[in-house]
Amino acid sequence: MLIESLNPAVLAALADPIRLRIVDRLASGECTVGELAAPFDVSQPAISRHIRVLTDAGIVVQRVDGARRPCRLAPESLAALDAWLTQLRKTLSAQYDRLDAVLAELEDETHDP
Amino acid sequence: MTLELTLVGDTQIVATRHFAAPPSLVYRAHIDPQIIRKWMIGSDGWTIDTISVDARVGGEFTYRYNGPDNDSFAITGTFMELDPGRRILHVERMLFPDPTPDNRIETVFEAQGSGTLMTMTMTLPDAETRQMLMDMGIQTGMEGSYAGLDAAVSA
Repeated sequence: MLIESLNPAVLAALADPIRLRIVDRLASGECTVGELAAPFDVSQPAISRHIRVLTDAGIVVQRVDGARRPCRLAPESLAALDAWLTQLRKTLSAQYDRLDAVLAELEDETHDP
Repeated sequence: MTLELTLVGDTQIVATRHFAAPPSLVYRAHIDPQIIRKWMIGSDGWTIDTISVDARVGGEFTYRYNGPDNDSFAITGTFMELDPGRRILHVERMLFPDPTPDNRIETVFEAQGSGTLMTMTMTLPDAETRQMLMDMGIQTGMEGSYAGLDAAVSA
């Protein structure tokens, strides 16, 4: 159910620019912690803490591969948020498209006294 | 025109949109009741039944919506700051008839070319409220409206 799955913990976990970029990177496939840390000017432990927030929120899943702990997205965790944002964008877009037409009428009135 | 929609922190939602009309006109479309009722309506089948707008600092507004299956609700709010042609700061809530938590909305209009860049920032009291508003928006099913947005984020 969409409503129950919109978890504030998921939203809070995403409310950070580094974690958003981590999620964005993972959207294209599994990565090691080192690969995730590479683009950032922050320590690997700091990246690990961000990953921990994402795993706690159920957004990221980590598996054990010898000494490595590769990360991947748990896409289902973001599905509800994605669905809601899609709906909201559609709703607002329709409303503002309507406003475009109203504004065009108003401009015509202004120009044709 | 493309709508950009961004979640900021865990209590804000920011929408940006370009309009072909100048800021003075887009601003007017947000405070003139006869213009508002033409566009700030829900998806097909919804209308604003009655509307009153006192566009002064401290002034209040009410939109009463009617929809399919005799559904109805209202939005009421208060203007906190008005900078004509540039910016509106107001708070609003939906009445079902129980009120939703206050949604603080800043709408900024900036000249961009011959048109307007509008940036609307909605700030809710906390993350739980944003989720509750999302839930309401989904339940009321008001696609295609600003009201649907308000419902979605404050419902």
